[in-house]
Amino acid sequence: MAAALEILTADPTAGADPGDIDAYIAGGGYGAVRKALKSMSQAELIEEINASGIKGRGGAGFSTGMKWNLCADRYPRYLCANADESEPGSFKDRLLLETKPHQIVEGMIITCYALGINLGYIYIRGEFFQIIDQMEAALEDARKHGFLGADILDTGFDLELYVHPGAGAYICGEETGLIESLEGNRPYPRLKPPYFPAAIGLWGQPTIVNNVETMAQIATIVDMGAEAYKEIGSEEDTTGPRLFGLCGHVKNPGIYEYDSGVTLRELIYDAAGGIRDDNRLKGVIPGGISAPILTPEEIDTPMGFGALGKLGSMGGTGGIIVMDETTSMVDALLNASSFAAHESCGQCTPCREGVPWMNDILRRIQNGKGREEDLDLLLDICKQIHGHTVCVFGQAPGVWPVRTILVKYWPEFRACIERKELVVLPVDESYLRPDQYEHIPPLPGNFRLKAEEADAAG
Amino acid sequence: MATITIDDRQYTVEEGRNLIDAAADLGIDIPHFCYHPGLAPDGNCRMCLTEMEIRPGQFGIVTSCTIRIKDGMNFRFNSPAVLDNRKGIMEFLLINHPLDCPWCDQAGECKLQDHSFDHGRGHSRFVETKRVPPKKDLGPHITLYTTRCILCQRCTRFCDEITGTSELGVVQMGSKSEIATFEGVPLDNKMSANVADICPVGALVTKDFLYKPRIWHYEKVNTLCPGCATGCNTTLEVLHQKIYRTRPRHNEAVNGHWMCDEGRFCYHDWQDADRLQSPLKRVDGELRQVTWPDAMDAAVSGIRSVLDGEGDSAMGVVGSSMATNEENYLLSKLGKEAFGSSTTGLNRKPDGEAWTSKSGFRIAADKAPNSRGAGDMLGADSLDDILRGIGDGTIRGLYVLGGDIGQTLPPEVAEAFGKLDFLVVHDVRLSDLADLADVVFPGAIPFEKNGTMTNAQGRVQRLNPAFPQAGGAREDGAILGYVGQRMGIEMGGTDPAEILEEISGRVEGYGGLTYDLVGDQGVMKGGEEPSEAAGG
Ligand SMILES: Cc1cc2nc3c(=O)[nH]c(=O)nc-3n(C[C@H](O)[C@H](O)[C@H](O)COP(=O)(O)O)c2cc1C
Ligand code: SF4
Ligand code: SF4
Ligand code: SF4
Ligand code: FES
Repeated sequence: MAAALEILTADPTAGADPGDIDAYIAGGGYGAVRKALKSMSQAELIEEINASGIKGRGGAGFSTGMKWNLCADRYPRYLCANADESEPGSFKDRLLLETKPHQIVEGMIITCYALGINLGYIYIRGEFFQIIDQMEAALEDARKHGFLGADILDTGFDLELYVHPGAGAYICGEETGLIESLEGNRPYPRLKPPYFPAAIGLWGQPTIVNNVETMAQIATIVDMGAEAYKEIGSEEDTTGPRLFGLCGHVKNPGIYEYDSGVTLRELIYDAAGGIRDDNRLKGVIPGGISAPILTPEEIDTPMGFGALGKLGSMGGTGGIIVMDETTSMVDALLNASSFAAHESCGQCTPCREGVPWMNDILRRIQNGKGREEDLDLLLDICKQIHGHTVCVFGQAPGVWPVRTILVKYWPEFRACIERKELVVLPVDESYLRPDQYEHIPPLPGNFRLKAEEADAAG
Repeated sequence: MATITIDDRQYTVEEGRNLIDAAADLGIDIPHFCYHPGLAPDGNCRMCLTEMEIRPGQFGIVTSCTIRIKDGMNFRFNSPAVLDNRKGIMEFLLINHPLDCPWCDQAGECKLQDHSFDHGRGHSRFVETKRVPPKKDLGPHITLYTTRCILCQRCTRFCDEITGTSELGVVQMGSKSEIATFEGVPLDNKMSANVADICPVGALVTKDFLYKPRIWHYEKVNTLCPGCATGCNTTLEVLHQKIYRTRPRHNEAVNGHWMCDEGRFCYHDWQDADRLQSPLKRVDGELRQVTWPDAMDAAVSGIRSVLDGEGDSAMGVVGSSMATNEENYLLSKLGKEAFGSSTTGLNRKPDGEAWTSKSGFRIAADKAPNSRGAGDMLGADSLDDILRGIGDGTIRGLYVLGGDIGQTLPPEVAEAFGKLDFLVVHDVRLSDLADLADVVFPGAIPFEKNGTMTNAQGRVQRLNPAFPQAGGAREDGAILGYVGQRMGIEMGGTDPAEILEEISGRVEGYGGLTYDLVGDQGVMKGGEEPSEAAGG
């Protein structure tokens, strides 16, 4: 069993209110800011983050060092810390926001210093209204202690950070949607190219959008040093500690901190205490609702970005949704699909029309009114959406859950259609094995089921 | 210039040009909905997706509407991936579409119909319930048939980018998205009706063109808006000698893709005006309907008696900024040659409001279309000399072109004209000007005219008739020609093309101009711009 970590989940304020800046400082807090600003040059800091091997924690697992290096050489530049956490099954940012507000502020200060940024925002999901207040207070305290404002720690570095309450839609978390929202517009994601935030972002200027956990980790990297940080996890799966949120049918739902080598089985059965009522596992979504589902046979995978990618799934947000034998996979997919249909921003045709259409079809199947041709139709609609949308939403969570839950749990969907009612098959009969995916038409673009990958390669 | 490859064939196109426009130049249609050449690309409909070589040998899907041509670009417009996507987009756009083509005014010029025909799948796989949002009254001119909207956002972008008034936006999310205005803030700006032109489907319609005859029945006439000195290029749609619709005609140098609402709908005032049915002659102090020969005799003998009694210069001519260059030219020629060197004047409309949109579209303060050209032809841009002449008694008779349905003479002008011994007027209705005249010839309205006008920038442009002169009216040029002939001078032809040729030899700034050169995009007078660019 991999050992649980206590880095991001450590309590530096030793039981005091997490927002208490004095307690935080007494526990070593703002040491990373002092170290970075006082003893490191901008270039050294960027190199340190590069060397740490950290991948961003927003979901895509993109190398943070690389993102920083891509930032266009134009000023002013801006920082947006992304705290819009709305992906179903994900709640790790919320924990950090509640327990480590100052560590997030530290990470933001260091990032801004490293990249020559003097103005940053933390975009917090609107529904987190208590957190928004707490974060405002944290920024005010940081300002009073001289960590924000003009000439921070007598280094000549000026920085202002502001909280921006989110506009109440999942799409506000997509980095260009977030930027539009910050500018006061509807959060319609922008076209990439040309609107890569690091090139043309907020107010048309180069902008770094990083997840809030990534921000907290930046402080950790500076604290520990890249050398030590790199020892945790692996480059391919991501270095550093990861926060995994377990929810659904486990005995002890919650956030667990491990390195990325921990397996899904360990997380479910050891960390979270196993399945409720000791039921059998039916399926598990390993990284937020968008992440393709894994069957009980696939849970010995390590939880790294690389390892899950090889399995045709993804690391995503680390929000793990566990479903036991009582779960109807038609219900589960309908739930995911309803979320996607509700949250599609509506800007582009394939997602606006295709995602709700699939939702209608799935609801019909759930109601026992599914037709023979519906499953192929669903796959065809997936194909028509995939790779044709403005932003990634159309695929994740638009297409991927449908594609993967439907393909893998095909027998259960077939049974519902044949018997004209909602049917929950016994676990072993409910899903296909990879060598049985063959009748499924492949998708264009970069995302394939594992069996298709093999096909494509062979 | 750049060399690009499309489906393995090489073409030379303008570097930096938008791919959809560049392809259109080559006669290749890239189907699209949200892109409009007058607006910034938005990339939302996804109909224009095509394959482009992203790395050597590797093709990827891109939005054509956001591609600017660079040398060496390589596209596949017809690969299976591209065709599949179009089919998919068509299906998506139609699942919630009412397909109420039988009573949709867009039918026949609808992008959704056209692209369905070319790229659709012919039958629907959608068996769910369509969403049916109610129609909305958006403003004084525009109604939204919400069910038909494909959310391409051309309309919202028009209000953001062109007028800068941003009345339109999207409310709700996902498939519930709808175009809407804010409560109490209607779509009411000086250019609002353009949104109906650019809406690719029948969602935005003008109240003016609602439940009208099918669009393929109309004859299309390219002409100019008579509403102000901007001289927007227009296309009229005409059926049974009636205009049903005016739409802006693209001219980058003048109006771009747009026109103002006042100009668009002004055709009603003209075609519904109470027109003169025959010439009028003053008999016993009252204007009476008379025949053409009778009126002509009266005019000629009236003019003669002024000239004979008071000398050549006693007969002045007043041109009209509603009349064409050719008509004003003939008038000035009549003045010079038949009346002896007569004083010339131009009766200008009092200025109205000038307005410039966010994007730079201008509505001129001068609410007449040809003040500049009339001034050039007459060598006068006001009534000052005429009024002075009347005041000091040297001018005793006038020959005046009227022709404005909105005409009102300022009191001092009316008073001065009232002192004349003899007044001949061309007009289109019984105006206060006609009311003072001894002889009135019923002339044509701008929608009945052939000729050229010169807009405020100095661009000479063609006017074409939508229908023949109403009732008893005649072309003003022909009337002038006949008067000249009766006065014993050689007026030459009255065909506007021939007159323009004569003008080109005699009026400064108009040298070298011909009808062909003016074409349908106009040309700057004085050659301020090469004739080539004017056509492009
Ligand atoms: C539909 C959609 C929603 C997203 N929501 C979030 C979110 O709530 N929080 C987040 O950090 N990233 C979210 N992302 C990812 C962001 O676009 C962006 O990649 C991320 O914030 C970058 O942070 P990182 O590099 O630190 O991982 C979302 C992406 C998509 C496509
Ligand atoms: S893919 Fe969906 S969420 Fe993304 S821009 Fe298009 S409609 Fe909006
Ligand atoms: S009303 Fe017309 S122009 Fe506006 S979004 Fe809908 S389809 Fe496009
Ligand atoms: S701007 Fe002037 S010329 Fe153009 S449409 Fe309006 S009134 Fe007519
Ligand atoms: S025309 Fe390119 S996406 Fe609509």
